[in-house]
Amino acid sequence: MNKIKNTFNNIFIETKFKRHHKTLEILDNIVENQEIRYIDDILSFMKDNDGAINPDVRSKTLFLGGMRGEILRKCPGSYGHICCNYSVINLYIGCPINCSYCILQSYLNQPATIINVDIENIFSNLRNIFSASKDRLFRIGTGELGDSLVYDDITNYSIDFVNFFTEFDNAIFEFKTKTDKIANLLKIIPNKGNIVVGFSVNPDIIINSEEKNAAALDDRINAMRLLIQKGYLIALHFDPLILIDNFEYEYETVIKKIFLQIESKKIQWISLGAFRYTTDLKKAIQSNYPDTKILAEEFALCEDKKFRYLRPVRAQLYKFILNTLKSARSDVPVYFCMESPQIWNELKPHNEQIKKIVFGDKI
Amino acid sequence: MLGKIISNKDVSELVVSGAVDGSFTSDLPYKSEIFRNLNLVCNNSGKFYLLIDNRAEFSVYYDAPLCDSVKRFITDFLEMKQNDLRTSYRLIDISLKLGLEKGEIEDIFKIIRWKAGDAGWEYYNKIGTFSQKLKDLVFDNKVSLNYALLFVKIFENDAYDDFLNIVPDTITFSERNLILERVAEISLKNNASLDEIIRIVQKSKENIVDTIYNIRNPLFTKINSIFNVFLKKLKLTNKVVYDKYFENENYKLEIHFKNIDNLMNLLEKRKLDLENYVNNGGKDYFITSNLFSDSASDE
Repeated sequence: MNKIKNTFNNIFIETKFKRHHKTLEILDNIVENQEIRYIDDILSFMKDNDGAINPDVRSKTLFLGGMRGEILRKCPGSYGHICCNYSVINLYIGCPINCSYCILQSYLNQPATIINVDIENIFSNLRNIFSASKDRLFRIGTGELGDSLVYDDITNYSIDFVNFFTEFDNAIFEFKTKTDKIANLLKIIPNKGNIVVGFSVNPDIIINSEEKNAAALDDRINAMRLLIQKGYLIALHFDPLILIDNFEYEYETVIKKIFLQIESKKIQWISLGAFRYTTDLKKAIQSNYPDTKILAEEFALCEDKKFRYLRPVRAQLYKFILNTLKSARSDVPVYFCMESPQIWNELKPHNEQIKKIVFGDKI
Repeated sequence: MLGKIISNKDVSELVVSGAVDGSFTSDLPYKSEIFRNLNLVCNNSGKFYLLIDNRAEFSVYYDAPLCDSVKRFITDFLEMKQNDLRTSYRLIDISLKLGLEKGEIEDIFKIIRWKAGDAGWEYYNKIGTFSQKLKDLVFDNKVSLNYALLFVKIFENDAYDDFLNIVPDTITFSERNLILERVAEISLKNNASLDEIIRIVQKSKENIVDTIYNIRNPLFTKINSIFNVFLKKLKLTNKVVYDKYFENENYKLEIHFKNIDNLMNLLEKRKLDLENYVNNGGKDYFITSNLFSDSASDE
């Protein structure tokens, strides 16, 4: 069940997009009695407003406008760690789900959640890029700086993206989410087979304590089931894997629940990534979620300046998940997100399929 | 708006309404010694406000509303340094005692380098709940406010001064921050009480920084200890460069030598030490799987 009702106390709109059809569509879905203010330039707006670090505060202010810079960017990956060759479109910047571990707390300092309404610009850029590199396979998602579906009930973007990607053979598009906001996706049929809905999954005990506004695990699994019936492909992201008491029991329960209801051949890929943080993220977590226990484990400072569980602990977590997936008769390709070559070599999670889909044959 | 310095004799002529007994103004950080012991008087629509210090000889008088007068008093006479939380905190106290409105005080936050808006109030209120000992540590820049907040959040119902009292004065600012952070994390992870932690620290022969680190990181401490014993047995202590957290197996051996003969001798000696270790059944802990499995099984 959706926990998030998208309500905003303040709405700002970039003047240039005042009459844009997407702006009007979004406003239709959210405006109650809020005052709407129009501003000429997003950059000066950001400068004039104090950065709100607390995600709760940020998610109460909405900014609708266009975005500058490159439309399609390579996921930054992590120095000294193996990257999964993913590209991202920044459609949303900011997320109201409020996960205690979320890296956005340290990335973002703007006072508002930004929704990019300039969809024509996004699509025309993508069209040019895909046409210019027809022999390359693109894996693209919108879930880097925000959840791909959490605002879908007000933007209806999922319909636009599914329809757009139907045109292309060399691109796979992934919605990454912790919600079950799939009503729009169920209205259309993904003909091409290149639309993946990736669900981040965790045990309910973690969802309840660390993913404040995310959908319950059962609701996410139910959403997966409905999407598969409609013809969508699914991806699973065990990311972040969080070390908790009864780790094995809790994660085994998640895997069993999923594979009991979801046919493994409908799952396109599975990613595993143990919880990691930067120094800035640790400060943000301590300030925003002082009661969380996720920082109380033992961590190693890695080459990319991120802290991760000690190597033997990570290896043990991954090994357990890989074995449990095997026992659940999963033959789904698995890859690690931002892991070291040592962990990859030790556990060798990938198979030929993942090499092809995720890494373009090169790891 | 200019301030006028007037003698306290003249002040006594004014109607004192809403005056605050403020002997606390005398040790504010004045820009000059000359300004020390000033009182504040202002004409707030004909109602005179006063901040009185009986020891003061002079007062500064502003013919302006109270909030503007306080702001001018701060900017004209005080030297607001970065991180002078004691002064900032006291100026908020003074502003409250003078009866300034919430919004007016938020205007003052900026000039006293305090966190803006609601967050500023949250900080002020939380510091108000600190023990005097912790307040002094924060105000004397012996511990960061953020770490103090984290510590109090976890131990607000404990007699945490008992712990603060066993932390020696001689340790550095960062060491003290780390101690508070790690103790909070130990408690979060193991539900350990401060009393238990105090007992362990008092029993330990190591210094408090290392003791707390080891309690906080038992597995890493074990791994590190096995590896250090291993290096010692190989007579390679301080000669091997390696990833501190054993994230990889890239080891480098540092050898200082003067000429070929000298290098050959040193290599021969190293070889003998290694052979000796292996012949005595020593395990290769450069192979991290050995190191990790023995660390886990020994726990």
